[in-house]
Amino acid sequence: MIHAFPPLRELIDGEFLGAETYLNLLVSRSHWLYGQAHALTHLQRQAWGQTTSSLDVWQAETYYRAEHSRLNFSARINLTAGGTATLAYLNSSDVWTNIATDANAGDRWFNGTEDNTFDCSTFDIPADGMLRVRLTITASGGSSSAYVYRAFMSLRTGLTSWPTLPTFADGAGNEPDAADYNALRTAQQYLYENAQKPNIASAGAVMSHTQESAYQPLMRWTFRHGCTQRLYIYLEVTNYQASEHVYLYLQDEKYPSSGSRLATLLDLTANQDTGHNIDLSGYGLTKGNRYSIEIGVLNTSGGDHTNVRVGTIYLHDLGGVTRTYQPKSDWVQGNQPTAAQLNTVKNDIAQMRDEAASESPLWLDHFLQPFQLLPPGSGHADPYDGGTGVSTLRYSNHRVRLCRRWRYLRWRGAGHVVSVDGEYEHTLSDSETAGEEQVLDLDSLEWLDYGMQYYIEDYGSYHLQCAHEDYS
Amino acid sequence: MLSDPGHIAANAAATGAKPCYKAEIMWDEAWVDESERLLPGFSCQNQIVDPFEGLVSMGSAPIGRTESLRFDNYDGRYSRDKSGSVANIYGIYGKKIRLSAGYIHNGTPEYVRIFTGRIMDPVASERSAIIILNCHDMGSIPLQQKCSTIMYENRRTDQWIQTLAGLAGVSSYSLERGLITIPYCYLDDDFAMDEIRRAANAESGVAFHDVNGVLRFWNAAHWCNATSVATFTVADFSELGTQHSYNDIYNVIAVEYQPREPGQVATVYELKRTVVVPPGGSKTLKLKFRYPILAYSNYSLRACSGGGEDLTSQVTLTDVFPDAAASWNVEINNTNTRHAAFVTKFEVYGVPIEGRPAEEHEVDESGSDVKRRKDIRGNWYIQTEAQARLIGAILSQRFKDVRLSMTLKGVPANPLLELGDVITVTATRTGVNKQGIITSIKNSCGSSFTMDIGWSDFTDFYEYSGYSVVGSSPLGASGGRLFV
Repeated sequence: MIHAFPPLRELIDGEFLGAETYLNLLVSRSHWLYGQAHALTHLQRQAWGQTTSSLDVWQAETYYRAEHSRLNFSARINLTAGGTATLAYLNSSDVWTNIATDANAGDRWFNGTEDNTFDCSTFDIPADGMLRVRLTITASGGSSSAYVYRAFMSLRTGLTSWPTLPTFADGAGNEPDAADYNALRTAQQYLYENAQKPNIASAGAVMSHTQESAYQPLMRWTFRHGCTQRLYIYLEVTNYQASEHVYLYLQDEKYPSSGSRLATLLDLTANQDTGHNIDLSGYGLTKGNRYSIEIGVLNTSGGDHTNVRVGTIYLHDLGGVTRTYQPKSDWVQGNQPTAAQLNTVKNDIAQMRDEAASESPLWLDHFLQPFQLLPPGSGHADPYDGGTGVSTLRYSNHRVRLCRRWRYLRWRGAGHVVSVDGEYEHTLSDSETAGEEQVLDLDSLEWLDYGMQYYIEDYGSYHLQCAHEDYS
Repeated sequence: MLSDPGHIAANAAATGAKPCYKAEIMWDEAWVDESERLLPGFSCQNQIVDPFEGLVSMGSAPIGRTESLRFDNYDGRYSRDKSGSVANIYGIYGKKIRLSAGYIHNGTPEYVRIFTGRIMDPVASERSAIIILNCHDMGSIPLQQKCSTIMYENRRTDQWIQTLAGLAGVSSYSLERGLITIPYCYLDDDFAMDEIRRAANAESGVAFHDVNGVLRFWNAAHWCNATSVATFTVADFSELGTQHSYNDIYNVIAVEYQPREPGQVATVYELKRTVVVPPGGSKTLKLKFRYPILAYSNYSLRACSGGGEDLTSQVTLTDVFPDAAASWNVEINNTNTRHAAFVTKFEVYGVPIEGRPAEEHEVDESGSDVKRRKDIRGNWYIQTEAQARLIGAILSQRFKDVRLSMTLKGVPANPLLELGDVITVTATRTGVNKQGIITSIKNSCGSSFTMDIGWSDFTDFYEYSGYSVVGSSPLGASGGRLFV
């Protein structure tokens, strides 16, 4: 992490309230939290696929933490008769263990529930601590399909509860006591625990499809709407074919299974190599709700053209964002704090609570990092055909991009950490314990400072399966 | 100021009051009254070790207490080498001793404690049958104890002191809450009492053993909003000496701090020789780590026989993780009863705590004056900017102007007064009319009971008055002011 969330002592009545010894530290913590709430956030890739035999539609992982033991999972399935959809995790013996199986034919929510929650506290987690989950579908005499819309860990077992925050008032009879100040500190601790979550990477690739006179979605990402309302996506369109379109859509999280396509964010009709900043604030989105971004191509003439490369996609602050409650952070000895000043400190903290009404909600969700299913060199294969080769979708050059926020990089497979300008790189080896999740202390990369963006990608014939940053 | 059991304050101010003293020694489990053998003409001195600086740099000037008591030793009671004596049976060195003093009121003695400590250096005289017991305060034994600990994170100063007190066997303590939090602290064969004082110093506080033998920690805000507990006029002392210490003026205070952070998992110990563990036997080593560790990761060990047979699987450790942040008392066991195990590789891995480049916080109050700079360096508990700012603010306030110190001599003893009490002194020729903090007390105990008082000017001791007290100070223009 960025090492700047200072410890702060709990107060008791009768102590002297200090500037350097208390209020400046208190506000410094709020600044750190505000930065976390407004951090550049990459989006979680959604997955879908269909098969006539068997297909791992989706795999993802996260470091399992007992305090966040609930797996939230939502998928829509459409199975043939005799087909199955199985959500499973990899146990400590490297055996996929079923969490839930659905063998009902037809279009329905996986496991009969739109938003599944599973208690993972009794799971036999591998020694490396990683919870690795996959959704597998099978078909029998037809084609089964599935969409995976969300996968994240939640709950706050044993963690700090949100306190009742005080309202300060000037003058005799309204003397704040230790409990009032400690409530602010406790709320910060609550938010700090929310901030401690994996930093997932956005997935990108070179994509196209070959189905004539048809629009095909090529990739989707999901996010929870909050205070970061600028969507940035870097797109490279090559081999553009006249009259074709590259669309970027904003839609409800579970579209097309439910909800609507809300807006067309981009409609590109030419080759380009450009970043796009898109203001999401004007689309009537609701804070706390989940949405998705979809990119696709309208192919008018068949053939493999109008290639789209997504360099990165993330959410960040719009320009001109204001912080309604800007706490005083330069207290000095001798200051006489006023109720208005302390209420500003309080309101600033309150505005980061993970609620829809908050200005800068600091969500808890621990998103799982989806795997890249394509090994390098597989060229224009795609992960959605279940090995039958009948799909029209084309993917290559998978890689993920991150903005450095935490200290540790967890990865599986072999790959490279590469600076955005390509000047620096570091090899992620798979040799220590092949196939197992590994950890790199990013502080060891002198060129990779906090706040820098970087790629994690395959190299040569090596395949980087999964990578994300973690706080411990 | 100690609470008055009855009439001590009144008798101290009265003429002709008769003093009384009570000396007790804990030979075994209980206090034994030795007052009958106590000879008049002894002294008891409590003071800040460096009275020249007085309270200006309180934290770096620990309080010490010494006492020289004279006892009648006609029967060799206090002589260790006297066969059958109490000292012979129980020993004398390090025994707890306490002294109370007061006045007789209506025929009944009233006492308060003026010293609790340990007997350190008995000096006996054969012909005069007198023994002088030189005693030090309760910090004297812990002062000689070295300890090691695991790494502690984010400990408030008083919490760390409490930990150290426990290690030093100090069970009686009264600690004000620390104003700051120390990010990382540990001991590596360090003197616990030294570390207690160093930790106190890291927030301009002070740690000492009081007259009751209780370890006390006062934080930097201890005297905020303090008021005078007694007033002394010319009639109350035989002499008043004043001193202005111009050499003690510093208008630039520079406080060095060294941020610390966990590093990458590293090899913190690497065996560079071959260790031989006998067949079926064991070998104990104390490994000293390159860096103190926040968390232990694992170890790697290889062993073989003298002929090269791999015995690694037959070599075990009794304790499988380190018992301290910077060292490991490790016992290596060889379960092979035929071959000696030659340990050729033993590496320990852990998350080290690394010192980041040091930084310095400077408070410059010199203006157009010549800069006179005082550096605060070398205290490893000062790890954050907040700590440095606290110390800088406190010291710059106390050093920037010349401060008056004085000594009141021949004061009729009021044993209720304690070090740290604020008292008022008024005099005529010197023009003194000020409040100050008691920095030393020397009790002269005889048929008359007098005290000499060291005093340091309390004027502008803090930059402001009326500091905000949590729970009782209102907010707003009528409210209290922030402390540092």
